[in-house]
Amino acid sequence: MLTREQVQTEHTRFGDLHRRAVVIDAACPLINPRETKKYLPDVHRGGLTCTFATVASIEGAREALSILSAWYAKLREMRQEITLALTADDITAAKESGRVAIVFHFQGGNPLEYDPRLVEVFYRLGVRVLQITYNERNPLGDGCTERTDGGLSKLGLDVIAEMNRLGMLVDLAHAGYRTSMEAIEASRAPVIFSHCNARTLCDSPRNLPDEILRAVGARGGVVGVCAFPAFVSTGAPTVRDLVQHVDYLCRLIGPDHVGLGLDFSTETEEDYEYFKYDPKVYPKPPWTYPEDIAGFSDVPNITRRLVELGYSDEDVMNILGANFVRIFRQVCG
Amino acid sequence: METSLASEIHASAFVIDANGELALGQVPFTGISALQSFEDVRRSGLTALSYTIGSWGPTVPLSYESVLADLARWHGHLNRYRDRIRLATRAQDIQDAKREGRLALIFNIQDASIIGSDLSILDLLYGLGVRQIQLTYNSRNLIGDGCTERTEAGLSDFGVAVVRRLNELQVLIDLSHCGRRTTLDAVEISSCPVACTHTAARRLRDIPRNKTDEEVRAVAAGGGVIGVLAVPSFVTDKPRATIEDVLGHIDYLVDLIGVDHVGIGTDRGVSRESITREEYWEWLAPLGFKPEVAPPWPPGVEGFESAAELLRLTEGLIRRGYSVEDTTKILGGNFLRLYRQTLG
Repeated sequence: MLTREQVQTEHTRFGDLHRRAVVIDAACPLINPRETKKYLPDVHRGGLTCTFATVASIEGAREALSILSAWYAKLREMRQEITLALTADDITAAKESGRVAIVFHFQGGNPLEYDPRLVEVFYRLGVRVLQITYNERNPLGDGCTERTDGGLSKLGLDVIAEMNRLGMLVDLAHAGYRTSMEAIEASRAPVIFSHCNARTLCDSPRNLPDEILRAVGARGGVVGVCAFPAFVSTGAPTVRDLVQHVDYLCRLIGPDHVGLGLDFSTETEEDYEYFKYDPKVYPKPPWTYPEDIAGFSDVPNITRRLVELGYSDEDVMNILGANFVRIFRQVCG
Repeated sequence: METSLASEIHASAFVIDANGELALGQVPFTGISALQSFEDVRRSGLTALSYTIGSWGPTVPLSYESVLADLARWHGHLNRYRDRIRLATRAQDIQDAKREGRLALIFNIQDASIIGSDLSILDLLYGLGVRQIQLTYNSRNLIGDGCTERTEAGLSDFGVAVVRRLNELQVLIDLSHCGRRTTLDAVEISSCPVACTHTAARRLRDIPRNKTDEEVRAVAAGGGVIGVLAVPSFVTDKPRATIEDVLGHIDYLVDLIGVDHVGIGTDRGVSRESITREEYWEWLAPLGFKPEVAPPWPPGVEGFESAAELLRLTEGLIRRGYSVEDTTKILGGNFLRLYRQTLG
């Protein structure tokens, strides 16, 4: 395996490809106002162009607002290094200027509380990707570890219509089966699953059965594969196991519908309790990501593996980020 | 003859409206004086009524804050009108109120979503005297699905935890507005009997707000009680509902689940509304009522416009051949038993 330095300096096919590509990680809880500075060197080493930053998930409106306000201060402070992306052009422009594009991402509709009008408020504040539920039920729908599978509420439907009107990406990662299927059906625009793997390869409620994968692919959506160990495979997964999910998805729904949503995180036991994780689905922390895909700086290993498997330059570029750019342009402008 | 027998029964029975309203300055009774309101209570023969805390409507949406504000307001009323009303936090308080000639108030909340995702707020509400909590209103909340929701999800994991906490606290669980699956789940998970304090039979009037035979049987099998309401569009699809329609629902439920499991929860005021039709609609619109089941104008049932006319209902029960004992059970004996079992 090549060292990181080799990736950056040697003209290997995958190294060149990775440097040229717009690389998007569609699930980044570590990119937040508190920790962005700490992780930015890794993000650069990994050649990432854009991160979907998790602003909030199970928090209410007021808490989401205070995190957004912290973000605005951070964006100002780090304006040479990062930039808020509201459109697809903002993402590609960031690549040209050597900055990292930040997309505001809610990993749950909870900040909307019971008011669909707040969708526009958060849109105007820059949020472009809204995941309908986290793991549990919220007023919009049921999450994937919830005891029931109730589907979207009337409010959930109203929120999706509002997101379609405004141009926000509907994200269904973490949602229950019926909530996902109904949202794919209800949304006028293609949807994403920002960070999910194939259930056929790894049987977790957080991963997607073929039926959902086919439905999202058929509607022009994108699924980001996720490096969270328990969703990749049992035991200690490697980058090969992760790319096996990419490969499976490419075969099932085509390479135009696959991306990356790696979900690197460093949660503590306290976080574990706060998020009310179901121990049947989430092992207790600390979570060990394997050495060859332990964090942002290892992302080029994915590119290397894709090239090894014989993927064309175009497919690799699409998987690394061009698919997410395409859907972002289509939905958000 | 029915009138004098009815008065006699009211004199000795515990008459309970398990979901009513007492007019002390709030919408939709803003024009009713306190004096008028207590005169209506006297006429009704009521021993106790369960009052819905949290003034909601066009200007103030129901929220944690509005519930706390309304609780403060009602604790003020309890003090101000202490010779007329008293708080009931256990069954004995209802019996004492009867002896003292005061009206007992059981505070209820009709949408547990005001607790957000914080179970400990249930303890706070308990501390402030609330003894009856409905898990959902018409729409979905974090606990379960309401009856007009498009889906029929049951209780969530959080909803299960809410039911368990209400059992521990000894608060009566009300399922009137809940969807079918949520109702059945709650009956199954609750270790205490539960109630649908204000509903009617779906078999007689097919709208989502009314309970199916399956739900009603489940509630009764667990020892619970179904309160029949007096909302015109919920009891019949005819343009004008009469007291006979209300009695029809009582008959049907008594036949289905037995006379020990049927009570009254008018979903009406002791006094008649004092607002206009337009104001009434403006008040109802944000509450998730779908047009097909929105209460019409005027909102009262002919012959039983408000709980002040409860004597008419008792006369009707007698006319329909109910014994004095059974009439007493329906008027409040069953709910008194349920309150004893749940609140202590």
